[in-house]
Amino acid sequence: MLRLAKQRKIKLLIYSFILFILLFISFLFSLMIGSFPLSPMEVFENLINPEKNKTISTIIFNYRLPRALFTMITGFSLGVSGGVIQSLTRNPLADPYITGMSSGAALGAAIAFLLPNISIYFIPFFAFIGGISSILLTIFLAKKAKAGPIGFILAGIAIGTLASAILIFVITLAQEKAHGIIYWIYGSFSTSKWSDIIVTFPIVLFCSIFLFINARDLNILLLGEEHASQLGINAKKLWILMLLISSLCVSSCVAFSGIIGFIGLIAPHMIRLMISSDNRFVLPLGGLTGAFLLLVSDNIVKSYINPFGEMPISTITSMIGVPFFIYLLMKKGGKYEM
Amino acid sequence: MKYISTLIIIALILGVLNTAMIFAINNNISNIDLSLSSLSNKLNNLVDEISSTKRELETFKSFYYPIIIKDALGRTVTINSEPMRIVSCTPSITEMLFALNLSDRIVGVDKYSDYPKLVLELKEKGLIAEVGGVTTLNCEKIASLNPDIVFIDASLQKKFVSTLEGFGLTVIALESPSIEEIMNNIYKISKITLKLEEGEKLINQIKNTINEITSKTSKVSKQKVLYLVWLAPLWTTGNGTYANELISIAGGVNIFNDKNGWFITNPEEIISRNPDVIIFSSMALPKPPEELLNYIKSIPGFSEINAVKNNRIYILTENAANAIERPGPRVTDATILLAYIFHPQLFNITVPNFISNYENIIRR
Repeated sequence: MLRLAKQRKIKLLIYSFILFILLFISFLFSLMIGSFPLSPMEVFENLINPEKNKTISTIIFNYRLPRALFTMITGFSLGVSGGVIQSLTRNPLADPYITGMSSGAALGAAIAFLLPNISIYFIPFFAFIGGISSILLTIFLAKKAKAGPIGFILAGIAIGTLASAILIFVITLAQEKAHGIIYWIYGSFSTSKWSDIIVTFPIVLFCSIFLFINARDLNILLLGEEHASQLGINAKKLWILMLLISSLCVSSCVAFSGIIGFIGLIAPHMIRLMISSDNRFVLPLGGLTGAFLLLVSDNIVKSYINPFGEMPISTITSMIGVPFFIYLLMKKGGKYEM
Repeated sequence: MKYISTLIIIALILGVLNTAMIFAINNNISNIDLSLSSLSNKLNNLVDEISSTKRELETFKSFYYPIIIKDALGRTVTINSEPMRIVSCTPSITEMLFALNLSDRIVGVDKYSDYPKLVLELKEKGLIAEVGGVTTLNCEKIASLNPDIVFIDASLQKKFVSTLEGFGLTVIALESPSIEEIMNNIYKISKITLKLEEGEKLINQIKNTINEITSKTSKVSKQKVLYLVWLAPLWTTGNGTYANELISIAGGVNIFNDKNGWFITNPEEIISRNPDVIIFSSMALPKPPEELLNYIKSIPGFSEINAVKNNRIYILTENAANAIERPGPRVTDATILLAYIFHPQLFNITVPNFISNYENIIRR
């Protein structure tokens, strides 16, 4: 028993270390890659001495740096929330959007985009409200149905589908302006600003800390509400609280970036397959994995320039995530536990 | 005795006088008759002459028509007689038709055709019907107007050709991707509709304006221009488009003239090319112009661009945007407006940051 724990600890340390290195390397790459390729030397020079070349330092400090940081923040929030939602619903196929939040946020953004007296700067706000409203509606429905986690998933599907239907209707009405909305929904980090980071970083930080603190209780929740209550946890309250906090985390990020799929689904599973299902490891490491995966995807998006604009990042996240995931599944599928 | 003879003499004199008077009046009446009848004859003769001249004209036209032309889709189209009922399915062609004085022959236009003002007036009076949007044409409506010719846009409305031909209509597809093509199409239309005088005048007008602007702006250095038609994503143009040509003629150089066609770019590309002037042009603005101006200024990294530092960002909408986006007779207006924007000192005119109607700006 002791040896197993020690083995696990060593594994944990090794994987964490590798993850940090990978994250750092992809961060450096993100500063180098773009339609204006920079060598590592140029990047360092301009970081140290910004006045040397105004164009390059502008690109690095005002465009690539906020983009890389915001991508990592979003990826982190997706990874953490994904892990939480999967544990809360005891469903390995769950992702943060299962509450119908993605369609709700997209609908909010579409409405803000089209209403003439609403400023462009309010689009993230409306997207956020849309997302949160869908979650609250889902929770409300699920509570009324009293059907537990399954009921919650079904309510999420219902609300999500409803929001999607209204969204498609709104897009059809928009005619010429429709492609602006669709572009937002695809998800992109090319408009990341420092102001986005100022808003989302504190939210993601505090939400993540809260979720990490309660990670152990989340493990216990996995056993079922009865067991959890017996072990002294207010299951219902914790359940809703963790759901809301993790959704808040994701909502705030996708309100700025658009809907980024797949990261919230696979990042936690990768940790579960590689290390263990203990949420105390899955949540933080899942977050870092999410940040890494999303950063790599964005780097790929940046390096492939074509006349139709950047590739939608969700395409890339799926394409790199799936093979990785299949590999892990084949290798470690037998030893997997939720 | 003496009394009676006096009476007889007076009666005789009166009788002579009466007869003379009656004779004289009769004479006068037939004189008036004569001049009235000669006037009426002259008028009749004139009407006959006009009819015969008209017949001569019709005879001439029957030798002039049918004419065979090739349209922009390579289709060979035969025009059998002078077109009196014309439908235009795209705003640029509508503008050409009106500039050639064909307003009385237009029976239908698309819903976006709104220039010149006469188009809107005629639409309101019900003299011109609306036949749908540019990509959503109502072919049945067009057919119901019984037009002699239907003009369509070759690239956007190609898909309607077979339906319209199915109704037995004569369809002519035109496309003006360059200023040269605009002139060619004006000539083509004037040839089809026998408005050669107007066509010649219009083409000369365009030619003279372009030459004047080009020669004036060739003396100063070209301004680097970024031309955007959408902000999220950043849609811009490279070489080979009408907008690019306008920019060059007006004394500017498109920062993306190394690329081709319309494409989406990103802030990095723009920052590295550092434009002096940014133009955002859209018929319908998604948000109020002040907000769009601030949005452009706040795009990450844009604060260091020349155009942003010198506040040379111009938001064009409605008529100003249409003049640039519709390749047609307003190429003159578009060229002048852009030249004023690029070179305010040269023309001694300061153009405001937001332009929708430019009539008062272009008062040379």
